[in-house]
Amino acid sequence: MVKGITNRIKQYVEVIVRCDEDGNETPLAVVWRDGMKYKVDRVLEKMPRAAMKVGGHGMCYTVQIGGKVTRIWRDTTGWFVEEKVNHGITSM
Amino acid sequence: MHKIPDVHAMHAAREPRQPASKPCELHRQHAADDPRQNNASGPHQPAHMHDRTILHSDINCAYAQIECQADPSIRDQPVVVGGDVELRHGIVLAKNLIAKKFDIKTGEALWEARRKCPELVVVQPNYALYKEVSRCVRKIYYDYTDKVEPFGLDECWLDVSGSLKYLGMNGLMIANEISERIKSEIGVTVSVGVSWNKIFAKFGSDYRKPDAITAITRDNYKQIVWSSKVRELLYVGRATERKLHSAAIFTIGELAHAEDIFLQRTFGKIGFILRDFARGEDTTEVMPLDPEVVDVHRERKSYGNGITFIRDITDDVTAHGVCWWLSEKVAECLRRDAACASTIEVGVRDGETLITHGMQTTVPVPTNVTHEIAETAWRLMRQIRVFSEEEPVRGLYVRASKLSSAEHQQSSLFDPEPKRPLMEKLDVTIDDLRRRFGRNCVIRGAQALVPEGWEIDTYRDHEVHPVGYFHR
Repeated sequence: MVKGITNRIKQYVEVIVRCDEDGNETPLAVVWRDGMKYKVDRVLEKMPRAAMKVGGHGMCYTVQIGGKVTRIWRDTTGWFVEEKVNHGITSM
Repeated sequence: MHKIPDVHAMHAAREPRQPASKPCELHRQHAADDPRQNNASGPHQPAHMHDRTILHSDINCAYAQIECQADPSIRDQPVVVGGDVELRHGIVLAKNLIAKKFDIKTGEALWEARRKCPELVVVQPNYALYKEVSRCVRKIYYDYTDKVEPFGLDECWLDVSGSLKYLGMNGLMIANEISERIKSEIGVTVSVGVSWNKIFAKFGSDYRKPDAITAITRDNYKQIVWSSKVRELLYVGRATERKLHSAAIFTIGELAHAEDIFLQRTFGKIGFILRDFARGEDTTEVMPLDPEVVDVHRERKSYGNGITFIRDITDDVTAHGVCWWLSEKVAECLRRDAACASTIEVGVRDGETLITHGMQTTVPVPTNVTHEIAETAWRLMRQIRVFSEEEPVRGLYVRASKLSSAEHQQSSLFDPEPKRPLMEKLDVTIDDLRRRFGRNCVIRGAQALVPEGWEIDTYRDHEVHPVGYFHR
């Protein structure tokens, strides 16, 4: 566990997605609950993966947002992230 | 009468003598290191070039593990998946490894489990989630072969014989890769057995748990399988075990050498099948089934429906109502599949002894009419017992068997039900109304008096997993 991060929770988020004619989805931006839009600079990897920290599984996109590497998942419900809970302050 | 074959001689004739190899109860590390030493696939064993390579994969503690994966906060605690206590389905359906340490057993009552482990976490079953995980796991299997036969939600056989060459892998390598992929992609562990027949593959997956791979090869099966208790063989249950023990057959090896006369006398045909299982001579194919298309490729022998009722049944009105709820479903299924049944069977489960008493009768004309099935079933139930406060009943079941096609029915001159065509029309109309406006839009009189029955989702709640090995 990274120092300061007390916990992680599964957080479903709004994601702006481009869907091509074959049905392949590419996330373009994550819209946080405060309305802030985080642009996805690059999708580094796309593969099925379990989200062991928060539970669940699905297609996992390893993405670069603002220079930082993070992961977002697509499951049957929608898109989710492993939200960090850092002494009451939360972030993606 | 079968001739008594000498198993040792038989295998000696088949196998070229090889230097005694190390018994290989394989961990995945060994498997990945040098699969050739322990392969179950055949390419390096010329004597068995045509052996199949069959994998049996089993999700460890399936329901409990899936729940723990979905909710990390309970991962370090003893967890059981239990039925709804209020609906009186309060038994342990699955347990995780921590709960297992407290000697909690599948099938025992939740209160018993709590007594063994007061801090036990009980989770309600979420079948939609289990089905989804099962579907995702199967999707991984399909990357290796199309011959995937599910055995319940958590187990599958895979025949990868045809894929070995084009994948450039042997059975163990595939087992290893599948296991790793399921762990990383779904987050659950499986145990996999690799062998040349389905029975030993299944044995292999049960042999070492959790998260392990066991190869049962022609070199090691005598050490591993034959020295194991006979109960560990598929289809040797408590009763069969007792009979085998009485004949001093305690290990699978001893069953493999059992005499024809004994098997014939004690078990009949199934005895020889069990002995074939023990010898690794089962040649049953892996049936490619897709549960999303059809659950099982098999001929249906009967349609049944049973329930442990939400409260004890102590009066005729309730029993009659429940009988109708159950019969209605059975009749509907018969009509859906254009079938008619000649035999109606019922069972009444005592509330105190939990013993089920059954009775059956044959109707003169094969039927799928709800009224006829329900009233026949009710007549039988009344013959079994009088429903009263003194003798509470816990559950009832209704089953229709001896099936025939509804399309080619011979009409009878002596039909005891002269209004049959009208009743059939009524049923069709009711089925159609329910399809359009919901299941409870039309309720029969007897059912209306048992409002609890409205909550019973007779379609969703009565799926049975897994289907039998022989039912195909």
